[in-house]
Amino acid sequence: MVKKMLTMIAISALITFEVVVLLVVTYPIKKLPPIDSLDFDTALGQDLSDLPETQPVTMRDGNTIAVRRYGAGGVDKPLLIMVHGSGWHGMQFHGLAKELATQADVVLQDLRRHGVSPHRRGDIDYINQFEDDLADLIKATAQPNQKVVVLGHSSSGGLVVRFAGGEHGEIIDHAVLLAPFLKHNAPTTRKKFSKMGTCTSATPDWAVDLEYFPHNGQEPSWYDPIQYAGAGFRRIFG
Amino acid sequence: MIQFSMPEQVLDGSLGDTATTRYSYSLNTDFAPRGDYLRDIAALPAFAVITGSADESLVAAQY
Repeated sequence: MVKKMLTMIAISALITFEVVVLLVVTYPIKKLPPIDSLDFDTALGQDLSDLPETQPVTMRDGNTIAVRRYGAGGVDKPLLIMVHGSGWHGMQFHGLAKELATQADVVLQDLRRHGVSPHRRGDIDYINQFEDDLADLIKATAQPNQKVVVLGHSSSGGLVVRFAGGEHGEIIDHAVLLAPFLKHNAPTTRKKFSKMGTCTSATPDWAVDLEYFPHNGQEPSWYDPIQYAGAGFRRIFG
Repeated sequence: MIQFSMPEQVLDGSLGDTATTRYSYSLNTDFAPRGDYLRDIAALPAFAVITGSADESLVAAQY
């Protein structure tokens, strides 16, 4: 009798679990409403006709990230790794990289799961994987005794700050932060952005997201980090 | 997970397919300093901040 009851409970729990999994997997991701966003004309009008081909660089997990290289390099010039902002990829820096190629050995990277046709776009395997990738990229491209400069824009400005405070921080010599995003409630973040929050997932991330983008008791709306990037695009290319 | 409301001008453009419009929690967490961001900042080597006074997202004077 007890065995039968336990079996029933186990079956019931299994069915409940499957229903929860099904709900999570099939949770609809709504298309966000169009917004009055920034002017991207200049950024999108960038001439990419002479864009260098991407080269793969192998990371510690055996996967590769795509980089584009500018300049002849040499230990007398610093290695300059440029890391793009949210939602975009290394092409953002094409014009700037060409300008800086006489002064540095320039490497543009597409962060893992970004750019052209990545596997599992928008997701990484573990927190701090971007830091590990950046360390692997530096080790793969820096020559002995070459100065290492890392430039990050917007969210990647924040990533460079994170990198400095992490386990690989000692391997960079200089940092350049273009409009770095620090935290939703940092004094450097405009309030209208820190108050906008959304959660498009039914996963346990829900609670964390609401905390991360506090909505001050209001119904969560949407969040638009691309505007961070847009502001930077205009500064760089405008 | 977060989702970006990218302008249709971007998504419908020639590079629209290269945009990444959603991030997982892991990626979003890694794409910013740690919660105690001042501690990460203190660990920076020599650095420069370049930002614009008319930035719509950030307050240049607060850096």
